[in-house]
Amino acid sequence: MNLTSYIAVVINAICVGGVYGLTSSAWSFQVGSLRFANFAYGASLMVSMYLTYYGLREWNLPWAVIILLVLAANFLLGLVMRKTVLNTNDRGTQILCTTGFSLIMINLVTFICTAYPRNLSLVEKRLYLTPDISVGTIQLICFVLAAVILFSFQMYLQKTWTGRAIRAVVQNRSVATLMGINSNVILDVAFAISYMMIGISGIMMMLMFQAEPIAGEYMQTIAFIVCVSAGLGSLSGAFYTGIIVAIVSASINFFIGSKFHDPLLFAIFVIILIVRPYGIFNSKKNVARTL
Amino acid sequence: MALLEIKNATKRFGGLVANKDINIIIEDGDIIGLIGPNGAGKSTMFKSVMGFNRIDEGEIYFNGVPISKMEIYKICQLGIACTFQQAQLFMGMTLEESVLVGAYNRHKNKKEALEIARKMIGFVGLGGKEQVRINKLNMFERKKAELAATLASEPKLLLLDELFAGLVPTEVEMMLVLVRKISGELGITLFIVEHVLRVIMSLCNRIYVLEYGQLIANGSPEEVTSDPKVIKAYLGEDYDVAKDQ
Amino acid sequence: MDYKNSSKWKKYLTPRNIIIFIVYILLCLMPLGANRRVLNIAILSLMYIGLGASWNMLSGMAGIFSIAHAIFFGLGAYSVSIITSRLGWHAVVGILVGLVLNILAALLVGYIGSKLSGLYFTMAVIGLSQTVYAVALQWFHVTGGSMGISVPKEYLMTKQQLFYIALALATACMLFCAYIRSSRIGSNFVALKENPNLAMALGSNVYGYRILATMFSTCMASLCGSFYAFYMMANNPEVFSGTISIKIIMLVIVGGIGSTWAPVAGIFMVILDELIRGVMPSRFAPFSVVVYALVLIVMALLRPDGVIGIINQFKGWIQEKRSAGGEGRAVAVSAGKEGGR
Repeated sequence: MNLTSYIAVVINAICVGGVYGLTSSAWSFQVGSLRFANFAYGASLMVSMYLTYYGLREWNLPWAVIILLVLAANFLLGLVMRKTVLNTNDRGTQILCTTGFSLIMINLVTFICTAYPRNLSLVEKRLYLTPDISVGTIQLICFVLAAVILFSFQMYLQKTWTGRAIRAVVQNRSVATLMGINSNVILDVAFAISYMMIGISGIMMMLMFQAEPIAGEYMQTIAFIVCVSAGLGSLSGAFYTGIIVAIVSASINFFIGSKFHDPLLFAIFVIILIVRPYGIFNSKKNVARTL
Repeated sequence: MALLEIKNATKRFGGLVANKDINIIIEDGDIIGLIGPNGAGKSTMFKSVMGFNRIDEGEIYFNGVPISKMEIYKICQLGIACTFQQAQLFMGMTLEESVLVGAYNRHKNKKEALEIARKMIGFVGLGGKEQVRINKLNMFERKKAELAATLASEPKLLLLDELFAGLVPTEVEMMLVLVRKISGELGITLFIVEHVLRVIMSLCNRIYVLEYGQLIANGSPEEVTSDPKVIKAYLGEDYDVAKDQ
Repeated sequence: MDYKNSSKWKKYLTPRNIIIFIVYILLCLMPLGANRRVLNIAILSLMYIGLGASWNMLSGMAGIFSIAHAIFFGLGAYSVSIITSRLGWHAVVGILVGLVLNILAALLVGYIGSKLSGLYFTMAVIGLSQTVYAVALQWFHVTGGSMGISVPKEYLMTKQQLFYIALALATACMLFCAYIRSSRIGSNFVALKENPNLAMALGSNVYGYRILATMFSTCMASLCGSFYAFYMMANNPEVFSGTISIKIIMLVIVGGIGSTWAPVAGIFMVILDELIRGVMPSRFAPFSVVVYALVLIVMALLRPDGVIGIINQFKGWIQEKRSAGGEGRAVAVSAGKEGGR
């Protein structure tokens, strides 16, 4: 009995972990590859969650419009950030200004929507694998979608001209420019794509969890853990570690209790940082020092 | 005992072997040159000595102490200092303070350190500019400022990585005088990587030649310049030395 | 000898120092004539000067960005409250426990920040702050949860007493910062911010100095936090919040990050905020944070050298006007422009 309920927890955690992986890989891409230290990431995620909630519950918009709305909003947000704070190469300024952006978003949302947690309270069908083990259809769809999006993003980076240009710019900006790539535009495109990934994962997050102004902060910490264990800049690694982190987090809740969830997760984070700062699945050792 | 002894040092970057089986011995008071075509692994060797790279095989001894796994700052405290290919400086600091950072290496007392720093600034010929910000200095002055900072750390061995690169001929002459003074007056052993062969021939008493990460020759400047392997490395395979003579 | 001594003193007799001295004397006399509200604002501002000095040492001098600095502050506040109210021990024990906790935290995040880059340090600090916040919320029978925890009544002090303690605290923090900046340690801090590789090649133990900077900074923040506990007599998890962090950061950025006097130069922002908050309905409280963050972004992008930079530029401009025609002074002007740290 105990085992079956644990299996159910793990299966749900895997589905959630896929979405963790998607969000974290967006951050990982921004920080590890594009060298934008974006600490307003959690807040952007939270804004997407609220937009989804309002679109669905308050304004009664159709799904397609909601998705378009969230994508457009994130595109705009990313553009503003890119054109202002992320235009500098100074790491300190980036960190400080994106933190400022994050606080602006959190407090504006708190002011407009109040700190009261919002829940879509969707009635979802559950797929019963056995009489005791079930999985929510929405979660399953989200997991599959996250995997598809990440896979297609990888393919995009590998196969298309723009994707190759992005990788070239990431590796060496000045040489890429000499090869006739407008690296600024390419960086804009890459950043916009990563921001839209955040938007989509925001929609998925809203379907699974409740939204509150500080929800993004929590997700940001999760993303740190995922990215650090995967090694910053590794996209597929972020997906797998996202799943692992979700399972670990669910197991802590299941066995030890939710009270100890945050401290234990942080302890894991610190241990990974001290023991293998370049990531569990990464073999490049000097990545962590140069970032 | 040799001051610096590099024994069978090998450094790989992934599949690329940057340095292979290098043996270099530097005695106290020498001026040693390291030359070679572009990409021969000269800077890699320097970085390995200073600790910015870790060699994969072999060992580097400084005064008999193995240093290949030591932290960079400890290597400096032992008595090795280096200048970088592109002059590295503390851009936001005044000249005096950035030299002071070097002086703190040996002198914990601020008064003593300040004395050393001022002396070194005067030594490289930047006297009177103590309170000027580094970012207000020109290229030549920056190189001298960097030199002053490294000298202030009072090294026994100084690694100069392309100190003369990017200087106009008159500045090269001034720098040459300065480098001779470092060796003569301060008694610091010098290990120089350089492209400008004229400089290295007139300065060094022994020269090592690197090609494709391997040492192909060493000896006095005359020996090295007449070595057919060296000429081949610099002028290409087809160049027939015998015919030319 | 006698003459030498007097010239040594004359060096300090600049107009700037005289103004600072007069302002300081006026500050000392302030509690005699000011009312409660003004005193409250003054106490808070002095505390923020201390916090600003603490953040400035870590981020301005050593170049490690701690964007959730309030956790160190909150740890100091909570340890005093918990030790005095739950265990009934003396407040000094609480302050010491706060310092020890902060040193431990500094060792943890400082170790991460020293071996890895500043980005990982920032991540570790954010993670630590989330964790501490969660613990403060959930460990109900010790921390009092979201209701918070109060300090026993016998530690209640008058506003005058609090003011003088705050003044002493701010002075101590500023003097400590100024001393460190002029000493060997400060030179090494700045060196590791400007160019860690060169600093290492010049023999400075960058890892050690990073941890040291973190430790100094957290200890100063901890003392400010302990003071805050006595000032408020009660605290809740809000002491860990981003609002306090952003206030600290903004005040230093506006002052001019990296210069020793930045917290003093930027303190007018906190005073303004407290004045406005007095007349503004509390529903609009989130707006003040939005304004802070906007000020922070604009200043960091456009004038990273802050008010002090503007003042220095102005000074240089005046000197240039005065010495128009005398080319020989160009060096002195540029030196004056850059000096005045």
